Amino acid sequence: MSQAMIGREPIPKPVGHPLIELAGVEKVYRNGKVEFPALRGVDLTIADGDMVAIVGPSGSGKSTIMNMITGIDRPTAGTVTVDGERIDRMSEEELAVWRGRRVGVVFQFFQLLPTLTALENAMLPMDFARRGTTRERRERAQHNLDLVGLAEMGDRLPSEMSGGQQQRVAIARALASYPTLVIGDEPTGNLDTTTAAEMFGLLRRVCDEGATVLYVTHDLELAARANRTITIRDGLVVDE
Amino acid sequence: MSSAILRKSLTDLTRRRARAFFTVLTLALAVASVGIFAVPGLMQQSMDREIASNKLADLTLQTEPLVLSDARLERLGALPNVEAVGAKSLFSTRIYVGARRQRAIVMGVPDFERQDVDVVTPISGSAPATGGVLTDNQNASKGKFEGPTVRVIAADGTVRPLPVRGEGRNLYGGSLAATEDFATFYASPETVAALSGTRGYTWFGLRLRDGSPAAADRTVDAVRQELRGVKGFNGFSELPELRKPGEYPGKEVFEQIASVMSAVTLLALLSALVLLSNTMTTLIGEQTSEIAAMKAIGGSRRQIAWIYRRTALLLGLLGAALGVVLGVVLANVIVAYFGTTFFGIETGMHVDAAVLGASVLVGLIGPPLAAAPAIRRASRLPVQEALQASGSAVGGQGRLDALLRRVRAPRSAQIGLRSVGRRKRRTLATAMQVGLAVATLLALLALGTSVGDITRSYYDDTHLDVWAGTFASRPFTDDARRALRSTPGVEDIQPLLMNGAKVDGKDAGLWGMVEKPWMRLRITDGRWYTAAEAARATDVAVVGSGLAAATGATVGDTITAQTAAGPARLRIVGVLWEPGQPGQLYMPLATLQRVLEAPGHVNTYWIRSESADHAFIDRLTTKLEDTLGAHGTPITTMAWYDQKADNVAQNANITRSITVLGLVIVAISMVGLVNAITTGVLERTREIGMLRCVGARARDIRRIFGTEGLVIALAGWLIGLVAGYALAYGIIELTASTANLDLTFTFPAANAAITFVGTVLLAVLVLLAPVRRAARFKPGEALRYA
Repeated sequence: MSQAMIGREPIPKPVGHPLIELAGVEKVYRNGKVEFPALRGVDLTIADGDMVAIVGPSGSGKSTIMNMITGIDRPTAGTVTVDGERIDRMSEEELAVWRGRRVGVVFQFFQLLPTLTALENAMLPMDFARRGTTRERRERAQHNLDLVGLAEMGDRLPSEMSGGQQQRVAIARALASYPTLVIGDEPTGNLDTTTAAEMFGLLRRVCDEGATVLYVTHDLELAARANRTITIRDGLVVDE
Repeated sequence: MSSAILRKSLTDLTRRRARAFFTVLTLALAVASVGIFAVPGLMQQSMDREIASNKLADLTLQTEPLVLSDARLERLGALPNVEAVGAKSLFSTRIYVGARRQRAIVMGVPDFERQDVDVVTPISGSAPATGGVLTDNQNASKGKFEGPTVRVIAADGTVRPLPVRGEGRNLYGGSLAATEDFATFYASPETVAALSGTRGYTWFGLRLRDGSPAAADRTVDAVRQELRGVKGFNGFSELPELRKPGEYPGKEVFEQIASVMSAVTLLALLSALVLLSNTMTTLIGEQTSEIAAMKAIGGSRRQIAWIYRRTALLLGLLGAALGVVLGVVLANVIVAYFGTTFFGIETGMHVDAAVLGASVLVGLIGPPLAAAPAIRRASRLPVQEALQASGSAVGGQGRLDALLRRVRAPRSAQIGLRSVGRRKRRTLATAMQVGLAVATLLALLALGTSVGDITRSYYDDTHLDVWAGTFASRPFTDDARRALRSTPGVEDIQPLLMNGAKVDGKDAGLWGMVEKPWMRLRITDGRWYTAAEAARATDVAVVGSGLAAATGATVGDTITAQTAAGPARLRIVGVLWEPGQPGQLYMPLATLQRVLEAPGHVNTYWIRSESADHAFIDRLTTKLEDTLGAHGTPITTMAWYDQKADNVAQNANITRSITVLGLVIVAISMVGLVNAITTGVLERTREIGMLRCVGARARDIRRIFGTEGLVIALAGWLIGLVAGYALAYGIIELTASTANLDLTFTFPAANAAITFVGTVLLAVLVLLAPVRRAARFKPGEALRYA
């Protein structure tokens, strides 16, 4: 019997129940006197438990949409609702706590802390969320490392691991807090094809066990393996 | 239009404005600290102006009161080598300030309009006629006296209210009010005579054409000859005092203080250079991939090196411009502080051109020099290696990291702690800077403690309650001695004869004492003189350890002391350890009486009180002054406990002033700490973004960088503790040798605790800004940060 990825049994949900709702979302970045409109009024709904790929050329606004959904950036206009909560109204502190408890993020360049071991990196979100005892956090992090195939590498530093292994640790970290939403910003962009396929397999398992998975990718082959593909161009959703 | 390479040098400055600001600030502090070297020169300039305007005497002679006609004074002025002569009658007494008695000196000036030596300058009001006084301008500022009328205690014990006609100033009088426990007043000789009950001049100042010792000796002889016919002249009551050109009262002490300040300045410079080197290493280190790109497109080593050299030069230019201004202000503030506090003069604002030039040079040459190792490393880095530089995502390896990984702490504190090892060279340089600041402060505090201990030890070794001396070395009469002994409250008295001398050109105090004086006789070599030697007035002396060190005199030597009555040869029989004293010669009372040709003379009494209660002693000193004044022997007294407190406070004031300079180093080290953490925050901005993404709150981020800063500061404190011990030894030795003091090494644990608390508090304070900055980064902006 395989182990559960996110540590709980999949909960049956009505198909199509919306987890994420973006309504009229606009985002303008300002750099001195220069303004750059990254999103120009995006309306988007993503169902709970879905696996969605976001594709589009460089500078189209893919990462900005991800940042809107995770509260990493705030919209210039429009609303962002996740699991019934208006996250565009939350303060930075509320967002940090919310992300720590509900969202797992996988970055293209892994973004592991170089001074923490793999196990400590995998514990980090639970440490910030003060979730459970230290022993429970450790057990949970070890469990996640087992799932991503790094059971024996918990005491390694990131500098002692390959890129693929580091990205596995990043996924283990993203799973730390039983997330309902896992976000990947080019999660396989820095990996070779074989490792990228393995990583995708892991994300698929996460989704199968009930989490909603969103990822940005340039790779159309990987995008095709999602349940749904959204294409962004010039700050607008142009195709689904 | 500038080239792209030149433009890069310029834009490298503006890319990280905060760091450029801190670097310029550090440089400015370093350049400003060079300004401290100007202090002795600027003080000398101010004093030279004072000497010129005061027409300070080259030769000073003191006598018992002598009544001289104007014609006789003119004859003194016409003696060979004498350019001008001035005479004053001085009266040392007490005044009432409310119900409190304040020691005071009244100087009788024959003619305020015609003064050729040691001028008293009226600042406001009018020159006082008989019955009135001018108050020295330092009296009010030093809290000694203020008001329209001064109540002076006359020699007969009566209180004489004298109207204050205005303010006056005089270098010697102002210095007495500023540094000694005296209020100074200027009056006519008639007023002084009415107060003292004695007419005549007690002080003669001569300006000489030839100030050489040989010429001055001839002038002294000529004056002695001239005064021989004057009634009451029995020779000079003190050793004639010859002022070297440019010398002023307190110059030697000031220059000793300045030499310690210079040592502190060098440490400040060193600290600033370490910080600069660190900053340039960081600046160049974070541009490793850019350097590789420049090389890849054809940039030569030389061109790349010049980009950073120019940036360093630009930093130097800005730092030098700011630092030179700061340095001029700093030097003038120090000179003004010492001028008003210790000499009672207004110094004004002046510039030392040589030091100014040196400051500019330090500012311009220092940064490229400090940056040289980093530039060399950067320009030699192979392209491939540089292109693959991992930026901030390094750390975690090495023994230190392994050690830090063992420390258990909350996760955010743990991340901060381990970050210490990520940039080891920068961490070490920053900790060294903090260490240098802590070491300097510990050394200066140790110096203060050592000076304080030695001062207290000197007073504690002498077992008396009241010191009583006559004025102008007049002897106590038998009647005065009996009155002293029978004053109620007096338990016992002990006679002394004290005078000044020169031994091997060094100032020495001559102390004629009884066989068993009331002082602890810490003989380090030889012995104290015997009862037989005391009874026979043998030419023997015990040399104080300070004078022994200065002159090389040892037991068995025969030395020549130049006294007021001429040279005296004395055989050294012992060396007495005298803490904190520059030099004394102790001998039997009868010996000194014979040497000074003053048989039976005693000008000082040590008095033991029946009670050790301070209020009782205060009342006793008042009673003694009144009683002796009524017996025709006006005396000046010192309550020993009060004198001890005054002296300890005065020495503490000097060491505190030097310690304040140490704060420049502290400021530089704190800039270094802020710089290190700010750079860390900038380097790890993306990491902050990631941490915010995985749930880190603002307080977690604050804790991460706060812990890192505190750990570096505490590592610095530890380094400082060790280095401070060695530095304290060096500074105490330096002070002991330059000031000719027998200081003992001390390194109190309490000072270590003080610097620990200070380091933590200061670090927390200066880290507030960079740590807050780290916590305020929005995750999106942080992740996009490049």
